[in-house]
Amino acid sequence: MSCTRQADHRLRLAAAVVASAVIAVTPQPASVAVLLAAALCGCAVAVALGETSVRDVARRLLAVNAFVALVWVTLPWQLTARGWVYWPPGVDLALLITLRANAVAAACLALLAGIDAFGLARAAAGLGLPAKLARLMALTVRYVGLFAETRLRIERACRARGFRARPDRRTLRVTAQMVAVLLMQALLRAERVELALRARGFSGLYAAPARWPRQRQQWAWALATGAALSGAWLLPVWLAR
Amino acid sequence: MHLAEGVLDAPTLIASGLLAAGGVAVGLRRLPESRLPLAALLGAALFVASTIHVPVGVGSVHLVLNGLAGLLLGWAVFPVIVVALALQAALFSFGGFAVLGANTLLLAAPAVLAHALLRGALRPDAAPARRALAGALAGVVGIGGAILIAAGLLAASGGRAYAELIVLLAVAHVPVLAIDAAVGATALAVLGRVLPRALAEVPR
Repeated sequence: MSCTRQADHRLRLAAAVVASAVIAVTPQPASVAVLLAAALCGCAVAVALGETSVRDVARRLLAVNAFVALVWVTLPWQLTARGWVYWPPGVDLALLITLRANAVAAACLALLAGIDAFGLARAAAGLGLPAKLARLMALTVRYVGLFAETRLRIERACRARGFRARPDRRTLRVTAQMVAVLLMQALLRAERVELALRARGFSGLYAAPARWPRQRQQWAWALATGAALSGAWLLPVWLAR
Repeated sequence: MHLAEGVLDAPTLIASGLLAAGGVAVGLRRLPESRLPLAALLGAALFVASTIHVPVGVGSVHLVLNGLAGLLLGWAVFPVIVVALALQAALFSFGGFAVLGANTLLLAAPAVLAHALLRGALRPDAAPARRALAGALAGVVGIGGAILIAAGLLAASGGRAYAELIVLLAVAHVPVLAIDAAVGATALAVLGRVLPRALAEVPR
């Protein structure tokens, strides 16, 4: 797994997308459970390598399970003429959804740990994303950081004036004004950016993404990840025979 | 508002992915190269705004603002939302890559509808009350439409098994709809008062 750290970001993103797609449509809970276990091992390695933290893994899995909680509240029960009745197939379905959602989140975390938003945008561009969409992604990533700082500045200023968010009309008004300030900044900056790009003779073309890696090590990583995914998927099927 | 991975079946994932890809293609074709920075800036601002949490009762809800984004961006909201959702999936595990098409469709399609219905309120001569009403309706159309599409996708995937989940999902998003409408009304009224010309020049 230490190879993951050196693997090309494009290969890692492609592996994350393929893993998500495979897990999302796998019908056997046993296969998904093995994939979840493998993905959690990957997360443990990423934590050991310092690419992420236990807190981050826990926070992300908690976010995933907020929706899963709704599934567990509703699927095991059905409303019939006799009122709410327990429905065992719903429990199986809820379990499958829980395993899939957690396995996808853990696999993406393990495969993409340590790649920042700029790295992701470059990797997506290198995977053949349409050029205009890749540019939109790169620009969005650049400006998200800027607006996040603006948001923190406004929040600090609000707190310094004694504002505390509460479920009341004033909080709604302050929140709406914060949104308006962010949008105003965006509209004003867009004008400046457009002028600056024209002044630099921007033609609408950007440098092409880097060529695909030729090192055997990179392709070996891709093959090993593919084999691990296929192995984890097939193991329960083979054991059940 | 995201559907988690593993809830939708393969045919629904593929169909919604194809529809979302079509929307992204139209959005990119209608977005001239010179307006790319504006779309990215508005997308980034709305991405950050959607991380703001508003207290409701003992808990809190986060803003979605897809209706307001659609009102300001038109069809360009499709590529802007797919970029935002891809980043959220990769960086925060909100949603995922397999369900990216479905989540893009459920947020962006009502946003385009909000633009088609309410864009007249962006004209510089529009009355402030009309702008505020358009901001509120953008929230209602954006979240209301997202709930309907999410319900349709869940019903197509699970049929009767997801009936209670659909009801609970809709009820849980009623406060989000109300907050998005209230914030959208005030935000658009303020924008119209301060930057009426810039507002009129947003992408169509």
